[in-house]
Amino acid sequence: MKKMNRREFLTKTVGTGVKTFVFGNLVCTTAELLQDKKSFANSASKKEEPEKVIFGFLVDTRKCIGCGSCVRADKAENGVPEGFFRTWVERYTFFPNGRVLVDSPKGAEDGFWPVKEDKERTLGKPYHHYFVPKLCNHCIDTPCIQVCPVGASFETKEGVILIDQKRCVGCAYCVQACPFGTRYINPEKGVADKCTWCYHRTTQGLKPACVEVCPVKARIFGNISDSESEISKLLRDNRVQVLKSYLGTRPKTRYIGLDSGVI
Amino acid sequence: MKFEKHYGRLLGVLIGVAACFVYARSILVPKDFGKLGHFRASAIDEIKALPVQHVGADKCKDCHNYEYEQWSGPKSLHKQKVKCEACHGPGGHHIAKMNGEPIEEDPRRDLKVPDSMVVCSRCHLKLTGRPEGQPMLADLNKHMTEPDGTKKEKCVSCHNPHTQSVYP
Amino acid sequence: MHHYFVEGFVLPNQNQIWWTILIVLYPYITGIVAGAFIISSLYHVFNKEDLKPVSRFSLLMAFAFLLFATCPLLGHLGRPERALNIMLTPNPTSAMAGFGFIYATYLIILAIEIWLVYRPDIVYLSKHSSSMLLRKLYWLLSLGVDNVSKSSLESDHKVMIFLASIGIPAACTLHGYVGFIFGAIKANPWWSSPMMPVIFLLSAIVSGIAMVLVCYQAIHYLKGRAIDSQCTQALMGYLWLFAIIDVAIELLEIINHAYMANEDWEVLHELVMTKLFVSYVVIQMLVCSVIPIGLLGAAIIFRKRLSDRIRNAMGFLSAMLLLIQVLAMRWNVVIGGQMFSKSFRGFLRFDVEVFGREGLLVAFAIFLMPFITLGIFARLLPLWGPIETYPKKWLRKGLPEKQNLTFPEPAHPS
Repeated sequence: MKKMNRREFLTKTVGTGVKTFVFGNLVCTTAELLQDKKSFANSASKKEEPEKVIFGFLVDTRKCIGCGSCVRADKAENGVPEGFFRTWVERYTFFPNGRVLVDSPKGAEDGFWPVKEDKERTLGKPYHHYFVPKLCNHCIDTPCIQVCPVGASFETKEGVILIDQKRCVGCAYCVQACPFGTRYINPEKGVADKCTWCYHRTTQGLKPACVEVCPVKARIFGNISDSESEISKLLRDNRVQVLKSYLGTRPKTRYIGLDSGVI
Repeated sequence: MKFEKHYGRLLGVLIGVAACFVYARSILVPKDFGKLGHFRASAIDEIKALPVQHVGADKCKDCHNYEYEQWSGPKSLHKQKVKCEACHGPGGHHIAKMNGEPIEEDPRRDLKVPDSMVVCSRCHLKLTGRPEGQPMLADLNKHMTEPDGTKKEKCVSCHNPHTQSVYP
Repeated sequence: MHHYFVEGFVLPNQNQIWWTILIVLYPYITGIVAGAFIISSLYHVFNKEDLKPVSRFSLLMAFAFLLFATCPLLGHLGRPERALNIMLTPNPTSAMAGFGFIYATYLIILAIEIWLVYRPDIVYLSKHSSSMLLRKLYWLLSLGVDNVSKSSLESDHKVMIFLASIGIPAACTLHGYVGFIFGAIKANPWWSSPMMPVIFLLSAIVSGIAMVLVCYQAIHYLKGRAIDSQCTQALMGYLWLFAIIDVAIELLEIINHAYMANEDWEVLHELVMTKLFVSYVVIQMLVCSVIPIGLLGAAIIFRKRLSDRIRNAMGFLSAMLLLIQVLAMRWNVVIGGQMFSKSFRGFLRFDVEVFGREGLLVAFAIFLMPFITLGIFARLLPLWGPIETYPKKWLRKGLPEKQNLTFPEPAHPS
């Protein structure tokens, strides 16, 4: 009986061991093969597809000095009509007791002026202040394209949202639907208009006019699908936010340095 | 329920209206609509072809080499930060006019020799909102008054606008 | 930290109110269409005999208003000459793109419905109208068919019922999509609400019934004809019911906003209590909701004690007030929603334009056109009753008195 038990015991143990060994190998090899397949597929697709360009914009509000050069340059570059803005700068001044003063005189076209003295008397000395340049966010889930009745608003393959001004009927639905107030109806043409990230410049390798003239590099533009571009590095290295993120439009214009007072 | 004669005629009228609509659609909708998405594909090329107004400092160099050398030289504080067009306006129309090309007049796109008191203050006046690292003046009057009491008229009375250093 | 605005800050591009009086007028007009159609369907589909006196008129009134529904929109577009783009290349995700097809479909349904109801009259008038031009017109409208036998009228009746029953969801869509245009805009917290299409639809029905009641009483009073009090009583009943539900849901919406007190409530609260105090709190919610609902309730509950004349007067007054209430509701939604900035920190002022392409005068003129059109319809067809009520002076002379003018009335399926 003991001999039989030992044989049985040996058979069972070795058998289990062999099975485990084979099974284990199978699992590991399959996993490896799958991994290789994935990376193989990746590299294959990298070879086949041309370099993908998706544009992105980053605004560093810690640097903005509120000079308004961007607003003036944009007006000149794109022929923006009087009283309307494709980009503008807001100033946020925080006073004690949670009061906020927000101003944007003529969209900062002529820059800013000191906060009036009477404000300081009534509100106290501001403890915190900064500028926030704003422009079209070129959202990923755009509400404006969603509501355009005639297909005049559209997205290019680089992710830029544009307006076909020959198709637009001027119903202003997109103006209502944009949560950020970046759109307007051009009074000269009777159609919708907005920031295009200077598409006519960026497709030629130039930067948008506002990025070009900013003296302190508060505005950065580039290809976010290129992980080595300046903008991609900044997006990785900084704490980045977007405006009104709770609405789920997923803007591609991102900000560094916003805090809770900015809407 | 019998299919009366007038139902047939009514249907005929409706089908006729629908046919007119379909035909109208085939001639009125642009041919390239819908190729790349729900929009007119040629709009992309139309927007790409818009004229570029800000040409960049390198284009200014061709004719204004002296100022360019000053601006990009080692003593310049504005070097590579404040570009020519930030203070002077876009160069597109200016170059076109110099080349004799016909352009549509637009006061927004004219070049200016700016008033330094206005232009320099835009960046250098001390303002609520400006970060500390920016060189700023709180009291413009005090800065413009010499120790002996004479007042300077403009920023450029002392400062070279292209290098920002003080004139010797 | 609770940030409350110190200074009004309005985003620079929001320097004007884009959707003004004409966009207030458009849902008002389509609302009246929807409500009037519901009245006529209550008779044709649901066999509410009380509403028979107004069943024909409400169809024609709906049609007259529908004909001019596009006018406010055309007046508002930046490029009206491109208006057809909405039908040529409609964007499937845009509620506004639905306008072209919903409008066209509903126009066809309503036109066919009217045609079927009036076909016997058209055939008769194609033979007996005094003007040769009109006889040709009627002949064209009859599509060259003069068969008014009992069986053909019975077939017509079946088709009419079918059309009226698909016309009800069509009318609901025609007005519901307008509510969706506003309700689905997440950028504007005053508009963004799933209740918006419901509120628009209910107030549309209220305005339609009210308009039918007002026109019925006014025209009959001015022409010295007797008013069928059973009809007005029925209309008042429906008006009361829909008014209660409408105001209840409008109240629900604002109470919900106030209770949730989201980030936007601070600016919305200021908007309602200061800028819209007169138009929203006083006119829409107090004067023009409470008083009509009270009056109508009293007229219905105390109907045995009050005379017909008093009840009809109460109904007329309530209907007028409710017409104002619905207009105020559209004003408060459309213009009120644009009076605060998307910065949630400032307000815009609305300066009412009188002259100009989108001014009060244009709006008034557009609103007047359906009534003028009804006047034209009155010349062409009997607005209220059967063909006997058509003025004899417009018929060919020399008709034998004994001629049987009535057509066999197909029995209503019980």
